[in-house]
Amino acid sequence: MKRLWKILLPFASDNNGVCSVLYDCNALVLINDRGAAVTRTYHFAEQRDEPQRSVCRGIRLGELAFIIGHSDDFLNDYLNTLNSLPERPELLVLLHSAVSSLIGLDIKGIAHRLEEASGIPSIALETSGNQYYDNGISATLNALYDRFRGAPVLKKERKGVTLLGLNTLDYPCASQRKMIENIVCAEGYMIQNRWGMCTEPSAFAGAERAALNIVVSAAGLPLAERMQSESGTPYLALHELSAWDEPVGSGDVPEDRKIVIVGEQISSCVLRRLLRHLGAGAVTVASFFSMVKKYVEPQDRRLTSEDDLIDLLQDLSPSIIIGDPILAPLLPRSCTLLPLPHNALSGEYTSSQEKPNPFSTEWLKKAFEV
Amino acid sequence: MDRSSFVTPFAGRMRGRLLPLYLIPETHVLFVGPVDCARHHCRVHFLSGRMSILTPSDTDFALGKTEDMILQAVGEIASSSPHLVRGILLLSGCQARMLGIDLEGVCTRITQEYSLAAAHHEESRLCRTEGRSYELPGLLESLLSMLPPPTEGKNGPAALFGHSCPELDSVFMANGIAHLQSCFSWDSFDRFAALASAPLCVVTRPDLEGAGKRLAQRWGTKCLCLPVSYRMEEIDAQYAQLSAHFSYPVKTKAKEEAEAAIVRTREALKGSRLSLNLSHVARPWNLLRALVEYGLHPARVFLGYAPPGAGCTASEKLDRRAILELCPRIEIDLPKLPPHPSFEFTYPSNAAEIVAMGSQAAEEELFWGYSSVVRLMEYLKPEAQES
Repeated sequence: MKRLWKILLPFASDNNGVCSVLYDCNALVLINDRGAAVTRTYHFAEQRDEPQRSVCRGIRLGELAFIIGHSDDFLNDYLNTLNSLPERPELLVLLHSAVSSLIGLDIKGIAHRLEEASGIPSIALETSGNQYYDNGISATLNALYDRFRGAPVLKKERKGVTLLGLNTLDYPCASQRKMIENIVCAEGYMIQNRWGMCTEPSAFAGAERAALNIVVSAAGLPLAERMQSESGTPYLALHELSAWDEPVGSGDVPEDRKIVIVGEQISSCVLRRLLRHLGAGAVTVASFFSMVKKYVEPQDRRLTSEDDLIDLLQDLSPSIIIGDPILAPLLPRSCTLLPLPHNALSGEYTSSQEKPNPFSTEWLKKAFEV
Repeated sequence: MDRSSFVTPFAGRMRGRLLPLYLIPETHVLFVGPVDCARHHCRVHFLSGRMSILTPSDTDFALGKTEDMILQAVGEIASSSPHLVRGILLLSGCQARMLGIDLEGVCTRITQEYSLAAAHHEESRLCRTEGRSYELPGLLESLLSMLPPPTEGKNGPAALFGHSCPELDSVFMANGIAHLQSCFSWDSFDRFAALASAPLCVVTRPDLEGAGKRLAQRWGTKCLCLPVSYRMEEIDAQYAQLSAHFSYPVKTKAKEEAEAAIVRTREALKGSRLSLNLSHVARPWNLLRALVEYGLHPARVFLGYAPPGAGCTASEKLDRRAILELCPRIEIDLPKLPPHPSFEFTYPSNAAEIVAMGSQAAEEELFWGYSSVVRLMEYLKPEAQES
């Protein structure tokens, strides 16, 4: 049954995704939630070495005031929270909780009034705490682009690339993120921005100056498509870069092994490309999150529940699964799981573990020694 | 100094959504709520295989599909669970509360369609932080609605809403009741179901008085409320209550031991002013009042994140009023705002001044009657020697 979780835990929510993008910003994230989900969000979403710069706060309204949803009450509470901070933030971000989303609280209107009252740029995101993190990342990038993008620039004045959707929920390993940057540089590009991490609002002023967007996760694709249609900035997906062919050898993975990768689509496509270089035959990508049609191969599958994954594995009878360790109870005994922690799935349980870089030759070769 | 706090059997350990799993065997918990809340449920539930999560989409909620989804989910759980499922506990989140979804009605349909006992407990913290922050009382009351009607009259074992303790057991054993079935030691669903046929329910946890009264109201069970106390006067009254119940004077030697322990501790402390961490004490005001009545000098108290009055009885409120009158200068530390209801106690910045009262107290679940006074005095004395 869809949306019934008997073995797995539901994955990181859209509010987690927003907080992940804004982790490094001097931003105040205001969630229309009375405590529980807020603290969860900012305590569990991230396991980075550096401290969180943004601040997340909930709302302190009584139940009745919350349900009635009088915007003045919300506005006053936000302003009180803002005034209680030791440092003045550069950005205010309003998020829905499940309840405020359900009752249709006009957070966009409140954000507008909040900006007038505080003088700080404010944006509102239509999250609900009931979707997955990729929606949150995508919504944040789009909203920041809408709010802060600069004036259009002539094509000949454009240079460098923007990495769209680079985030720690999909790419928890620092050396993996560094490797992505190296690959992009090896392709001959100069990286201007990394949107999804280090997403300072001011960086969006130069959005139009990039000659190319490189989509690093599926969450970055909606903005890439918009920028292509609105300002003519072309985009490429990370796995389409030819530089991926260089670092790995070949011939280490037996061709007859069927492999299923369960993870974020773009990073899984990179992994598929590397595996094919190593000699793998059938490699299927499956994801519980957004999947972009143009990068989907015929056997790839979008998963909506744990039953979907079980069905997929029954259909394909793979010998190797690459995915988060929490998937293990769902796998048939005939499969071998190559654990690849995904923060959006098991982040809060594997925070103390060192995250591997699956794009490295060492990991790939070691993983396929089995 | 040992940085621990005095812990009664009523705090810590079993909290939140873990409770139903530990309380009633052969029960499956189904949480219905948003992804954001559901994601952070304790993983232990899933390792136990006795909890599932249903996260209807906003559209499902808006279109009124939730009830049918729950029924479908229960059917799937009942047919595929590796464990025997005889009861379903629905925990609902904020959306169900906001939309007024009739989950009691869903429970009735679960019983009709799948022949499973079912109960609903609201787990909405999102828009409901007022009221109790302590979950067991409400949860137990909800679970009682899962009880099937008794089949053979009132001849089941006497029930205990609290932990078993030797002093209480010995009182009942001396009066022909060999076994008090504690609500923390049901080892099968049948044991829990036998609650409906219990002729007597003894309540020693003050916060479970409501559940005891509900049992009395619904199944006609006689309810004896004997909440743990540290005050001799109140314990005397409880023994008088027991004597009236048995129509026989109930006596114990423990009272003399308690009186002697009080004298010894008073001498050992020699008028010292006490700083106490009572954040895990079930009846902190009662304990403070007892200390004052015994000639001891509490000067500073840390009460932790359990707000005074949460889950407290009327008598506890009286104790509070009394202690504020008796010791108007007593310094009481209350945290301004808990960071999260499920966060464990964290020591305040002045932790060095807090008199710890024995970490082993956390391992003891044997407090009731005069023995609770003896135990309290024993814990105070070594701390006095140390300081």
